[in-house]
Amino acid sequence: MKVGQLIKKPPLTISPSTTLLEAADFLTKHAVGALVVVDPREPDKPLAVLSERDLVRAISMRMPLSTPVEAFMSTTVVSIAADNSIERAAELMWKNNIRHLVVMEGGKMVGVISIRDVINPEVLQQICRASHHPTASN
Amino acid sequence: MKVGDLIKKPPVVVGLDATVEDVAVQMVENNVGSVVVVDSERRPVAIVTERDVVRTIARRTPPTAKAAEVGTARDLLTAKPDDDLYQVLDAMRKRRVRHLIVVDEGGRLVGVLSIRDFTEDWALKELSGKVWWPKPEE
Repeated sequence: MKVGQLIKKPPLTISPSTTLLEAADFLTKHAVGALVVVDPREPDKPLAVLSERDLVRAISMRMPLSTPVEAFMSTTVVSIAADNSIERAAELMWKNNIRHLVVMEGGKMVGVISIRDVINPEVLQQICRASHHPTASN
Repeated sequence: MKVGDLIKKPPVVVGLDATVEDVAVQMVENNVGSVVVVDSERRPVAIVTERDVVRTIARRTPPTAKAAEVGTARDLLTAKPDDDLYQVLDAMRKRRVRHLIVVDEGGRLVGVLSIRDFTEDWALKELSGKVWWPKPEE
């Protein structure tokens, strides 16, 4: 089973000029934990990931919520190729202490997967099947 | 594998008077995604997650609001250190929560498990082995 199979919907994106307050509204409205920051002219190219943790950091620093996300976001995007394994995705999340990975295919962003997508009984079952039958294709 | 085996560090707690901002500071300083509000006997009263902090922003609630009032205070999902990992993960998925409060026999806080703790490689292996087995009795 590959990472690309976990993608359920197109990534939710915001522009660098979106404020922290707007980002909080967007996260809450869509009940997600992270948004991808993109230049609207290049929506396939992730510039940063803005997560709930970034907003917690803003509150802890008493940062005005009118601050644009570009003044605040960390520009390290942890991504994974769509044809990579779920185990690799779990490893990347664990090592980087993050809950979301940007999924790339052919140089373009095709989705975001979250830790909940990985910790899923059906997904775990697939991993188990693959390790019991390494030659079987799924 | 038992719940207690995954607890690695003491839980991050605040008292009943703590504000949302206090909780945000604790999350950032301790690099955790949840903080437990405890009473004077160290019994959990509420759990406040990053998502609760983001929701606070979206609702225009001031960061001086009491943490216990913005978090989950009723019907907390708890486990004992001797509980089975698979069963608690199943319970977490059903409740759609990312954090599990672990208490001793007296109901006092022992630790907090986050969904991330399950992405550590051996935990995934343990769980992917379990999904082959008949579902544990509820």
